[in-house]
Amino acid sequence: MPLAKFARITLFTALTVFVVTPLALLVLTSVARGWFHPALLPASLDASAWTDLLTDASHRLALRNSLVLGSATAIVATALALPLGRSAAYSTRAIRRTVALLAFTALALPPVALGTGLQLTVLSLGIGGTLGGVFLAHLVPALGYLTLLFLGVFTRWDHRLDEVAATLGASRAERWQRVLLPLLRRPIAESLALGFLVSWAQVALTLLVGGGAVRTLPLDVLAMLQAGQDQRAAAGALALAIPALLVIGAARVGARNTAAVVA
Amino acid sequence: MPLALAGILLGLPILVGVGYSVAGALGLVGNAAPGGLQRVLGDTQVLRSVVLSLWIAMVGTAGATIGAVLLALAFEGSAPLDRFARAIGTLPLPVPNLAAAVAMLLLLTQSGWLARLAMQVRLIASPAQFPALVYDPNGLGIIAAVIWKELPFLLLVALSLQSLQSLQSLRGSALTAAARTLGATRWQATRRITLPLLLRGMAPSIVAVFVFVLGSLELPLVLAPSSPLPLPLLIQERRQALDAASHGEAYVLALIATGLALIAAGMHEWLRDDA
Repeated sequence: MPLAKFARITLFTALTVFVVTPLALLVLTSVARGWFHPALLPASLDASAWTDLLTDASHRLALRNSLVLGSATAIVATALALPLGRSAAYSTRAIRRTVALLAFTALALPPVALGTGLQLTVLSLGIGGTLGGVFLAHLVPALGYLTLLFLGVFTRWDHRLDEVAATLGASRAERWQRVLLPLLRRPIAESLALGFLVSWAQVALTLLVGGGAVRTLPLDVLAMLQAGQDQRAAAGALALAIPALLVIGAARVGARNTAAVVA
Repeated sequence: MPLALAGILLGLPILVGVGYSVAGALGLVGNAAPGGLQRVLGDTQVLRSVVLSLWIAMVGTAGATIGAVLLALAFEGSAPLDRFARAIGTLPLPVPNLAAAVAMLLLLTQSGWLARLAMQVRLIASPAQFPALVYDPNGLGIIAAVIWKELPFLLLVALSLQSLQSLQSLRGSALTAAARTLGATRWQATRRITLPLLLRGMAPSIVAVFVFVLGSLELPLVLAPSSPLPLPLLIQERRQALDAASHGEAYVLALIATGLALIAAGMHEWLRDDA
């Protein structure tokens, strides 16, 4: 075997082991019963951790909170970031760069540092430890991500379609309805997905602004881990990854459909 | 109009977040006792926290970058092995930080799966002989999780840059071809042309990874040692402490973390030349 090919196969094997082992371990732990040191494989399997996650009343509350927060963050952040990204993209270079810098700062700030400040704000508004307060906090990094997303979309945008529609007599509302929104279907779907995921995986802001009163799935996973419930924590951790996997799958299908419509 | 909107939507929360930390650090708001600034700056524990956080972010980002570049160069073709390697390399992308941390915990503790494997093949005789990768003062467990989590993102960036360059075919491939014509070996062409172009294109993303890792709470929360605590955990701990003095320190620490993030954000903007 030539050296280059040998090196490539070695690299591929190392990569596969490195990537797959932690994931496989999560899956196996989530269905393992009585898996003690030093056994390499569990003695028997059961799905109790998964059924607990869906049936246990407190887990269901956490799951519902996570879903509500994620959906609200996705919708509101998209509705705000779209016009912001659009108007910034059509402005001068200096304004564009300022908006980009602000947006990047919003998501680069350590959530713990941001949360420490936001916590006092939310408390003074009287919504500390409520779902609404946590939602406002999640909105900050989500807006950062989505503004950057729409800034990118509209910087590469072909203005001529809009101009042609205007020349042909389409009103502003008609142009939005017939030209812009259909073309924006994919970026909006991506934005909703990204906004959801930013909130869904959030730990620090929920912890600080929620003050322990607002339970979400990630906080439940942490609690299970601290209680030494490895099997449940593994199931919870995998559940955290499921929406992201679904979203990526849906994005691929969506992209194919959009391509078909445009073509 | 966009500036006003950006100011309200993005600037205000940042200003409020930072502003409260400044006011808190000076003892003007909250129940924080004044004098936090002096105490924090004179505290060697704080210095060790900052150093540990910077170390984890630096080594983790460097490891993920090297891995991503290596994979992007090794598997840039269209053979099944290349495509398969690219798919596997980007697999952890959708896994949240917390889930990655749980997986690494199961893998790397002294009673974890790797230690069990080492015992089965008689590399070690007892769990204690397995190196303490989790909760260790050098943050090795966190660094492993960082590389596992961030390599896929940087790989994706490297791959998109490569396909962009070969599509435009004016920078990367044309330059490489010219160098080869002038007698450069394949390795020389890679080292002198492909690699610098790739790293320059990846630079903003590398800075972004660094700053996210620096501020991330999830990985340290699960994998960090109790001493020294990484900076985000130290802030969290001081914030939750019951005495007013600790609260004041939390604000000062939050300001330090914010300062580090702002420097990185500035660098990110400076490195981006496409805006």
